[in-house]
Amino acid sequence: MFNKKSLALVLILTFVLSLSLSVAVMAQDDEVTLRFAWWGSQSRHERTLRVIEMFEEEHPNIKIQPEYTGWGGYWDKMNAQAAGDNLPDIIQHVRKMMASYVENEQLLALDPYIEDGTLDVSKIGESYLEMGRAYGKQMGLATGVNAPAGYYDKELFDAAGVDYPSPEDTWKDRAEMFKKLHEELGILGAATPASQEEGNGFVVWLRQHGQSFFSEDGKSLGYDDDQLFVDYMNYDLELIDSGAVQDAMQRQESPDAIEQDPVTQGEAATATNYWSNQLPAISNGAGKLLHPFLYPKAEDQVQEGRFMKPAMVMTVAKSTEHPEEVMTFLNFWFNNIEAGKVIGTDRGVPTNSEVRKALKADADKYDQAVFDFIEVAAENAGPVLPLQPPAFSEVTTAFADQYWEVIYGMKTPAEAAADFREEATKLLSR
Amino acid sequence: MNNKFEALDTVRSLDAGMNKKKWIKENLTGYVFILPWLIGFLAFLAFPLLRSLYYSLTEYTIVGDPSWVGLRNYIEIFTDDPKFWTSLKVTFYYVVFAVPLRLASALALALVFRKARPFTNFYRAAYYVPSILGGSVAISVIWRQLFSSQGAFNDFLVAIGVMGDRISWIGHPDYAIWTIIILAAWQFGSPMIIFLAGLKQIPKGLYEAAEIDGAGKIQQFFSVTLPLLTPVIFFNLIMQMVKMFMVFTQVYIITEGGPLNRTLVYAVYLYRKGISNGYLGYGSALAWIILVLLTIVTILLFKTSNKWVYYESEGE
Repeated sequence: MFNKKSLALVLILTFVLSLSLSVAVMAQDDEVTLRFAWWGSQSRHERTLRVIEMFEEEHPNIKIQPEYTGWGGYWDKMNAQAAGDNLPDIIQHVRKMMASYVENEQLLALDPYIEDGTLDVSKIGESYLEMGRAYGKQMGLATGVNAPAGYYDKELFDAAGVDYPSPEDTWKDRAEMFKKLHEELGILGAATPASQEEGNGFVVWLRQHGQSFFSEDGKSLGYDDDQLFVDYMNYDLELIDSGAVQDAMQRQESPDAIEQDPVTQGEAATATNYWSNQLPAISNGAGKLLHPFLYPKAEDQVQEGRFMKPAMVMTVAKSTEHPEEVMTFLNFWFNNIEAGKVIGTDRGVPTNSEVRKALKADADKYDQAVFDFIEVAAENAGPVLPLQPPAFSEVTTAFADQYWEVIYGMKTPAEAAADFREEATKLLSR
Repeated sequence: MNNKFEALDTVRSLDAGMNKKKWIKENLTGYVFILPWLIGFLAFLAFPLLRSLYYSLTEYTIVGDPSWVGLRNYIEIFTDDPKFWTSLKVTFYYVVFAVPLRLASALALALVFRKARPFTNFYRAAYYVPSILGGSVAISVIWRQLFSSQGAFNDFLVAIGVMGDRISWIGHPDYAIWTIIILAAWQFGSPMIIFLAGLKQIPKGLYEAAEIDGAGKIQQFFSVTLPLLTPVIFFNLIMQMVKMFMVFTQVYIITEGGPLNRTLVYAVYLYRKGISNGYLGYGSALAWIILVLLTIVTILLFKTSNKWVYYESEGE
């Protein structure tokens, strides 16, 4: 048994040990340390760390402290740090999460620094700058852009004698295309007609008809006429009936992995619901280059509805104590061509035109195709999507629920349209 | 023997209410030794538990700070959340079928492995494997393949002529839940081991007596084995039920709650609400509701146990 002395010793040791673990050693000179948080894969970590090294060589008085994880848990960590007023100086953000951060005044507006020239955005096009704006202020800079993309197998189109998809196709043209491919080849035209369950296709459709998914204040749906929903669902139902695309049950069981999409197995001639940065992934799955294509136009469209989106947005915490040094880093990140080469297209096709030119010069076949496609997408993109309201993910779930009810034949499109409106209105007005 | 008397001494001195200091001094050592566990318990169990109780009474979304709303989350769950009821219904359906199926298969195999035969130990180990693997992502992925319309299960049914056409078991609103129930039944390993231990406890003499009285194998099972095994059955029932109320991985991988939310079990719904949609307060409230519900169901089962669980000691 312990006597009093030895017990005290044990307790003291315990305290000392635990304290020594939590004591931080702090450097006390002119050096400025900035914290930079991002999520990503191993290759992104390596690229980013390399850029940080290059930056520190050029600016020996600024140290960048990297804080990186995978996507899972990243937002939990950021949210906890936001709650503790301890956000990193530079935060890799995504547009769909920005609304609540901006509303809670966690992020620094960059406009003053752009105006006084501390932050140089002269090589970044206006449409790209727009992607970093929220409520009229420049709350961040887009790292790169993505566009919704479908992919098609050229050889199968040649075999069927069907024209390749073009940016000028209408929804009707595409339906004919899927059906013809199905009839000629006996395989699927595409696994899915469009990406309705995530709502992307529906967003394009609404924009083409002069409407939007969310209203401007984010408190209600942005379209009044449920007929738009009904027409859209009927388009899908007709394709399912024709057998040119998977029916509900096949879709339910099809794998999520892009490398296993039916188009990679030759079981479908196209795939419809992906993004431009996934070209290498789906092409690797197929073992050959699959060509990207855009969403179709609407026959009677009133405006361009297709869009691009920022892959990620670099933002700055409002709580930063060294805004000048942060701008120095952002200048390096966005404008230094050597840095841009290291970053590559991993964070989307870069927004700086000179970096883009330099990258394109020595891109491989797949990246080349992505660059070309992004150019086509940029020519055919409407206005930037507005920020999504905080309830967007629940509304998207509600949309997916109704979507499935319809394709399983449990509800008519009209019933689903009304139910979705009721549910979404409830969620958004909360 | 000596120890026993010492212990008695301590109890007596405590009873007398004397020497409280001595009691503290003697027990402090014990507390120091369990300190690591105690800290772990307080930091990783008690604290998060109470914290989530607090969160369940707040509106707490991504980024924002929790703000007190009293019982609003609970009221909303019970009065204005049809999916809550859907997920409860699905979970009960799952538990009601999956638990008895798993226990039945566990018991059946335990009976087979009861007698020592060549390689029995090997088979015991082999049949235990599914319950180690069953909750894993890999098995769930394979399960998904197995029951897809191009999968082996369909191949088999078509080959033996039960069905003409292939069915997507995972995509069909009525059958999808059964693919998961069958997966649960297949993970019979751990209750099987417990049944085996229980079977060994039954005195051989009872069987001999039954045989002399002219009871056949089947009657022996129902009149001797089953009644004497009821405490073990009861234990397995509670443990497995608790586990199954919280089923998550398999469902999340195989169906993700679809088709049409027909497999939206409670834990998946909780995850969707709390993590995917970011309503941490609401999710915490959901977690507390299932905790209370589970407690109630367990208490009810304990109440019924008087009627059907036979403890030998009571008869003495």
